[in-house]
Amino acid sequence: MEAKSEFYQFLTETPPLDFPKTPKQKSHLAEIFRQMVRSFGNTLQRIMPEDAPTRHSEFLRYYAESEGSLRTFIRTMLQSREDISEVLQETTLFLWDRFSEFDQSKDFKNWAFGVARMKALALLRDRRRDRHIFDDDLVERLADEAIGMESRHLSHREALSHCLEKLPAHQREMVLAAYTKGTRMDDLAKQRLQTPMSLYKLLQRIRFLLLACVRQQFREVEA
Amino acid sequence: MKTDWDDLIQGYQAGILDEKETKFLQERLKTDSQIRMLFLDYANLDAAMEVEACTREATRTLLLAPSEFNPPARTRWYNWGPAIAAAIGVTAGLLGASVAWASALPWLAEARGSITTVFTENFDSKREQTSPGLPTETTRWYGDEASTVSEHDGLKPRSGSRMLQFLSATYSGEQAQRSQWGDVYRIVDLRGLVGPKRTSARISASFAQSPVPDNTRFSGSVEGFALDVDIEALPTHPSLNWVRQHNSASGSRMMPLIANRSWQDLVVEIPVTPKTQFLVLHLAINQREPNLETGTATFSHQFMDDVSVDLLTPR
Repeated sequence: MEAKSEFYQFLTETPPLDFPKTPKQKSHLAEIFRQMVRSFGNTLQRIMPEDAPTRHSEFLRYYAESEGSLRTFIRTMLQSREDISEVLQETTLFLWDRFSEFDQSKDFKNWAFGVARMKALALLRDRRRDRHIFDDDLVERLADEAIGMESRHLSHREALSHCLEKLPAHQREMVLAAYTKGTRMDDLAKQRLQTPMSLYKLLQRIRFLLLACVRQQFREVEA
Repeated sequence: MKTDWDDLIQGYQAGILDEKETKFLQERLKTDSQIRMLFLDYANLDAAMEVEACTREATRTLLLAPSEFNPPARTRWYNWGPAIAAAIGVTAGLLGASVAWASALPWLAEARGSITTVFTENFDSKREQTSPGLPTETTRWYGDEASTVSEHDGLKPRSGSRMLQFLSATYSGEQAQRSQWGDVYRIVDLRGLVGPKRTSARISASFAQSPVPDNTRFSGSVEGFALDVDIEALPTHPSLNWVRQHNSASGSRMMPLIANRSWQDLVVEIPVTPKTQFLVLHLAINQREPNLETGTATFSHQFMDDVSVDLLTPR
């Protein structure tokens, strides 16, 4: 069962990435898998659930199509990365648990959003005791409106790479480092000989610029 | 008080607004659709940036060391878990492959590093019951009622002769009104053990469940918190909220338990630094169904064994 739990882990923790594009990347990935099959072929067969190929591939297809929107949807309602990660994980677990009951004529994304909303609101009720958080009415309204802005936000996400490239290199590296998993803001500030507050202000400014850029790109596409 | 909407929204999403600022922003969001759109755009940007950062970091790691792929001769079995899971993702098709692409990378980094075990527990050394509440010292288990047992209800310990049996979602004196979580805790002392290289602490634990009534469902969870605070700074009676507020890094995993007496493994990794003084382990089971409106759950079919903490350092 360890493979199943790792499966949940990489589903919830690893953002969707581009498939390797360059010949160098493809060749290296192929070598990795050749090594794995040589070393673990028997193990793979043993740990694969009986219906794994069908169920995994169906679930992965639905999940991968929804993941970007689901992350934004949860981010709309919650503040900390830990909370977002927790709700994303619980939501994924729930969806996978009940996937056999899912009516495939229905919209998977709506189902996923419904589950995420329920999990996020439950977590917010706990967090409200010790944090300054919006009331449920506003959180629900923001969640509703986030669903209606899906195509806009998809365009923003698609424009982000381009906008990051427009930043000066040192700013781009810094903001990417800040968002890299495991980065601690106080460590990053020390490395840069900055106070955490001045680093926060700089990141705030870069986010402002990035948002202005993706909004501009979106307007150009719309026009 | 801040009045710039970009500042306020980013401040709220970073969790640094005070009560007055939060209320001010809340009232404006309720009445102004443009500000709501700005809020949602920032939320989307934030989520997208995490994906973008991970993508670029993963690509860079791979391209920096394409020729160094060389699995070590001696590696614990679970180190290969992500790679195996990655391979399953690939067999599932193209979408799976894009996920596997990322998942293989930590495994590559790890394959070139070192592993130091800093804590193991198979509950064999003595008969033990948890002490109530959260840990105040490093030598014993704390938390809700749980106790070590030998083979029980047809379930054998994962290793050795004893394992931990969860008994209750509360402990004597807690006076919980409602709880479906059976929690146990342990503090691991990391002082002087973490070097200057980038290091992560891998916490692993095994859970098992003997057959339970059809209308019940349980899950197991592993959570870890790195604390950079000195021992003098620890409160006399710490709470989970205190740990959640004062940790420098944290991570958690949860999975449904299958009631077939087989052992299921949960692993979580969190970054640690030379400043990390302690690691708080929070291991738990959760009665997911039926949902309790009131009262506390009791357990008799859920067990845990083989808890360990390893420090993983890339070479």
